[in-house]
Amino acid sequence: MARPYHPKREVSFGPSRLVLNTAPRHWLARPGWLRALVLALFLLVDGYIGLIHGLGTIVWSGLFTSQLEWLLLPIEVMVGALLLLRIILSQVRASWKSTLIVLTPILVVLISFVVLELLLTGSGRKATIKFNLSSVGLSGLYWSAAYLSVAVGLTLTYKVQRFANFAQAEMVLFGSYIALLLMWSNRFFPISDSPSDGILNWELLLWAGVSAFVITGALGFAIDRVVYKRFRAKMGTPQVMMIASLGVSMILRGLLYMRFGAGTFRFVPDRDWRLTTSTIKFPAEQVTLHLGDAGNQPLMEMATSVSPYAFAYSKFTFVIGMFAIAILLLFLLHRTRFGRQMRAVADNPDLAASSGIHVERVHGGTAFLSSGIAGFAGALIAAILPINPELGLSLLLPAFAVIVLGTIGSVPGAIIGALIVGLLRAASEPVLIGVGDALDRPSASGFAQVVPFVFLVGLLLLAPRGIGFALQNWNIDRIKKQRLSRQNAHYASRVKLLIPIGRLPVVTAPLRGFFERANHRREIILDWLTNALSLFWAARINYLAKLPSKAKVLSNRIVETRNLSHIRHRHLPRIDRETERGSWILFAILFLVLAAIVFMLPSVSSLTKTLQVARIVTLVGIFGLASFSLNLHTGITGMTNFGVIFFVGIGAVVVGLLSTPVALNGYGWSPWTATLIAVGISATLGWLLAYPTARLRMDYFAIVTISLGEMLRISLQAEPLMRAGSTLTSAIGISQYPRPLESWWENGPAHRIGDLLGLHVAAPYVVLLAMLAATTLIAVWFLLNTLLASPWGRILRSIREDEVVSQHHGHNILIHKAASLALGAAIAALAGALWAWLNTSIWPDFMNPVRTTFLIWAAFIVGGRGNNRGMIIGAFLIVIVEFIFNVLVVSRGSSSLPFHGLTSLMDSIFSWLVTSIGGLVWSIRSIEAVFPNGDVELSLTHLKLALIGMVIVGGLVSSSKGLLPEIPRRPKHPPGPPEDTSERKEAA
Amino acid sequence: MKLRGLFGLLVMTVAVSLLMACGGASSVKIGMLSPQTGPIAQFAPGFASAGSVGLASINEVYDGNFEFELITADSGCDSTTAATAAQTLIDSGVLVIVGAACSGASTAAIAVAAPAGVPMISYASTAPALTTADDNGYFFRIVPSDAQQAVALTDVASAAGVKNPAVLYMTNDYGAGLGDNFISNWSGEICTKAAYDPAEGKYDASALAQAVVSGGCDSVLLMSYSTDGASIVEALSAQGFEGVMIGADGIADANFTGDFTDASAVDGLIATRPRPGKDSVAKSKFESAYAAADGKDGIYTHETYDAIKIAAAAIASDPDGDLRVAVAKIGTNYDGASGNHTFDANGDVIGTGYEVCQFTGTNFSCPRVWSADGGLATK
Repeated sequence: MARPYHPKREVSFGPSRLVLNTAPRHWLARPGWLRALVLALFLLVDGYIGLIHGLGTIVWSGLFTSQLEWLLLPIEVMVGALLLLRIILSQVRASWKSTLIVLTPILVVLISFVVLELLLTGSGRKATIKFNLSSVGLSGLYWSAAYLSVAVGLTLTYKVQRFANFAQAEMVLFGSYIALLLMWSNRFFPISDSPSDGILNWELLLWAGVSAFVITGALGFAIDRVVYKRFRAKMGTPQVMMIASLGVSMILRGLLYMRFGAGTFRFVPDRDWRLTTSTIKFPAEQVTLHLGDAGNQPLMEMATSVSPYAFAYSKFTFVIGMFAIAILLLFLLHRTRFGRQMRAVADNPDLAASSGIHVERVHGGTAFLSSGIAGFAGALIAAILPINPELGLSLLLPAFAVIVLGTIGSVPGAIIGALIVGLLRAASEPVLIGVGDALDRPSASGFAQVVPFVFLVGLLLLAPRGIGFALQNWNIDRIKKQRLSRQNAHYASRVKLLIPIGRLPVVTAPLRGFFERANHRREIILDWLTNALSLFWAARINYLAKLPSKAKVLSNRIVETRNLSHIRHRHLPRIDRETERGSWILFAILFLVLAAIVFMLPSVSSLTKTLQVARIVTLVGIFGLASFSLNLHTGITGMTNFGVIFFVGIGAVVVGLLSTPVALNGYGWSPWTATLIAVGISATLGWLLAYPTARLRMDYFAIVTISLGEMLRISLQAEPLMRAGSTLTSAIGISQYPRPLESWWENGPAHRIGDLLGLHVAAPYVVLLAMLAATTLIAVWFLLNTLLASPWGRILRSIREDEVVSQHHGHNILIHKAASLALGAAIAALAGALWAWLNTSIWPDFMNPVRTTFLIWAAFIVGGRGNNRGMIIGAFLIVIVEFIFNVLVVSRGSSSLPFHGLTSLMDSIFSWLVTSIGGLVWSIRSIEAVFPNGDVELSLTHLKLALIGMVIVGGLVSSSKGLLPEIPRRPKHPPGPPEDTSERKEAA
Repeated sequence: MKLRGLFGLLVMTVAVSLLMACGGASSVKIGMLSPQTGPIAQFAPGFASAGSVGLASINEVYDGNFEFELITADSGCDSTTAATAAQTLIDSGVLVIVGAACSGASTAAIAVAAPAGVPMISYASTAPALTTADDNGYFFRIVPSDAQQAVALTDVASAAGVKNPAVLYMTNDYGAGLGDNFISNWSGEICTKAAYDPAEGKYDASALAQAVVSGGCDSVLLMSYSTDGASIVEALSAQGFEGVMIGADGIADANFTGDFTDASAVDGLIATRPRPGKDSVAKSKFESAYAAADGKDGIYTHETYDAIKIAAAAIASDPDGDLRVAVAKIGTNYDGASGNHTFDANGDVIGTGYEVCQFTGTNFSCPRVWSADGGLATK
């Protein structure tokens, strides 16, 4: 995109800032980069001597076990090196900077290899890493295409519509299922089912690609009309639209599950496509790296006699198709009228509208294109992978990493980002296998799927605005230089052309005279116009002064009655959700209604009812605390945090690991100390997170936080240090940790409380946990309310409203953001501790970002951003919804259970929809492939998913503030005399 | 706006209470936790089919005496979902819970079920932590420990003349348990160890296969589920791998070929699975009923069926007594579809060994058996 170049804008504030920053009084006041340089060098040297010689602060401190030391030291060196790189980047001349930023991916990879080499040398181990160049390259292309399938639409939506569309992954899936439906249709099934004949049949694949493009595009267009158009009309924030897209994705996934079930299907365009012999053989060369063995073996060895790499036709088609469509999109954006319109809307929708572009049509077109491309990709990917409704989610998070890496909203950036991430993903696998072997971590290759995130986080710290931004700058520089040189050339040539003309003063003299006269006349005209205007102005004022007196009387009366109504209004207490009292009343009503539902939930005995209520209370406590944390970060401070689950997870994992007995690979601390440490660690991490991420844009911050959660989850799967609860270190998960006060409870109060509740047995432990959770929730609520009512709360809100203004008022934004992150993280860690005790064990899946994080987000949005009362209602609501739907789900099994009739009714409606109505579109074969014997049954679990999605979308469409909106904290207007207002109105 | 919303809520509450008031004749309820959502949701249809086959069978056996109902709830593969689902099952009055599948789901669910006095019989949780979990004796499982199968696999691999195997395994508790145990049992060299996430779109089967081929490995040990296992076996064949392929119970099934487009790739694959009882009547009976019900291919379907049968037998033997005791008693030398089972004091089954199956062409047969004391033997 050709952005006009404004040389003046860039230098305008330079000198004044320099004046403010100079004049160092003592060492600490030296420029920040100098201090950072000292820190970086210290980290590098300290880490280096730690790794190689077993010296340095980490070793001397004696705080860590040797396993942990080996984990921390490489991290220390890595941080030091990245910091150093960042200082170089910030201090280097501007003309080199863009080039350096574009080179950072390579530098980061190099640094990681150096760190690995140090680690291996230090620990006296040797690693052999075998890169098969063809395998890495082609597999990398495959990953690139797979990530690109989601990323293209994602970045396009971002560019034009300015929000992160979580439903993009479902669009890919939708395309896959269209391909499957075509395969099952009577027209195409014979092609798919025919025996192999050695000839590739393209017919079904082409049809599937085209129809997936059109139908998915139409779906995207329809969703845009029904949902996002409303938000645009209401000037909805990108955040609200993003959460709405989350709701849309839940609805779509729920529908896909209901129609196609959870099983996997393979799309066979023709049997020949999927034969193991349907491959292209690429000759392979193998590069072997020997790390940690510097003295004995060469670092790198080449071997050519390895077996060729077979790349399946279907993958080849997918890669070609994906990159072709991305390049077509680029062409469309830059060479066609519609593309120019899209870019215009992306740059400034209002300006675009004013110059005659139909903005809504451009939005619709963008939605069609981004969904259509995803659908097309889905059809192609179905020919490679077995399809089930979870597939989209596997691609969504890496796709986010791709578009952030390539700068959000840039299509060429997305292509480059996909290539980098894809190749890195493919190349990391051999590295992880080799290094994991050397370090006794056979499951290290499980980390391959987080490599994109780790890399992204590292890179964002260096180039906070992504590579695409640097590329764009670089491009602008290049174009600028080109223009300048071309201009000079142009000038020179024009001067040459002008020379003969200059020799003809006879011709120019009369012309000059004409211009002089014209200029003179213009001045006269301008004078005349100004006079006319001032005359008119004077006349208007005279006219107003001479208004008929009757009209004045009338207008006075109107003002009086208005004032009267105003006064009357003021006497009535204004009860509204957005006043303190109204908010409390609505909170009480909602709370009581929810409590009544809890009371009415069916149960068979007083014991099971006690268990049920205690469980609900504990869950409300956990989700409430997590929502408090999210509210503090996002609702109050305005940082979009998708990593609540990261902090919750840190809390749970640290509590679990520290309190598990030593015999079971734990540390054997008491649950209370462990909780304190967990809260401390989580708060520290929250504080530290502020430093690298403070400069990041909102969306980038969101992606970094969501990546952190994913990293923790994969570490739980693949890192032996994160396992405890069994004598075997191979056992994934943390379990067998003690819970607080467990023996005290069972030996005393349990019996008394059991009698009190009329249970006839001792009260179960979960009752105590419920009391703990409720107490913690209320205490944190009180603490937060006090803090947020203090000046600090006001500063946080002012940061949310406008960072620049609060900075201007002398607040150190970084410190306040860090404090907010730390406090929120500490609260989330408490939720994590409670969660660990409730579940009695910690498994990687409990931190599923898509499930848990978004559930907390739903509570946050539905409850009401910025209002802690809303958080409690939101948390209560999501817990209750789960229970109510479970009651529905189980009712199918027995006629004696409540709602049994309702579920049978829903079943028959669904069956009618699928067979009679849907039967018009799809074949009987497609129904029988999913439902055993063709007996269509509604999956209530997935209906729940779709309904929660509908609640989110519907709630946001009707009121984007949530149930209990934030109470605006404005100073009360002083009651002025009514005359004042009337005069003001009159004047207006 | 606000009032309308509140009114709606009130109407809903009244409607809920009215609907709850109605209820019919009581029958004996067995609960089932099935992973209908989450990473292993693709196997839920198989569990559901096996569940309904089991239900039909118990209602036939105890016809006239008991009327059983199977109540299924979604456990996800997630502790919180599972525990909430277990709570709902208990609230609807189930006497025994069959499930859950994922180990995390089982540990959280037993923390709810044990205080309520409801025994759980898991059909797929293999984590070693469940052996020693604080379940007050309420937790049983029909799946043998991974550690033992890893020993069986070691013997099978040695017998196949394997020198330098590659180990490919999933990064979940089942895969990691088998893989790590195999690695520590294997005395010889191991050429490559690679872990992968079995969710589609998170691993590249061709790259895994290429790592095996370019590493010069003479064989592959594959700890996988069926769909990902098929993709990897196909990829191995595409990359020209010609060594021995050995798998575990995730793929040891005649239906495994159904996951292939090109089933010829399966030729020569060896796989172990728990050994069925002496007369495998239960097994053949289940398999024919399962096929008649158009059941989906899957894993642990035999175990699901057995868990339901054991639950029903326990309830029938002592409807009002301590079901923990009844389940333990029924589960002594029990001849089921998935093998001969005896629960030990921890609720784990003491396996009677494994059978070693193989694909010749696409034909599936199990000519050998393995037991802890006898090692490998021909049947």
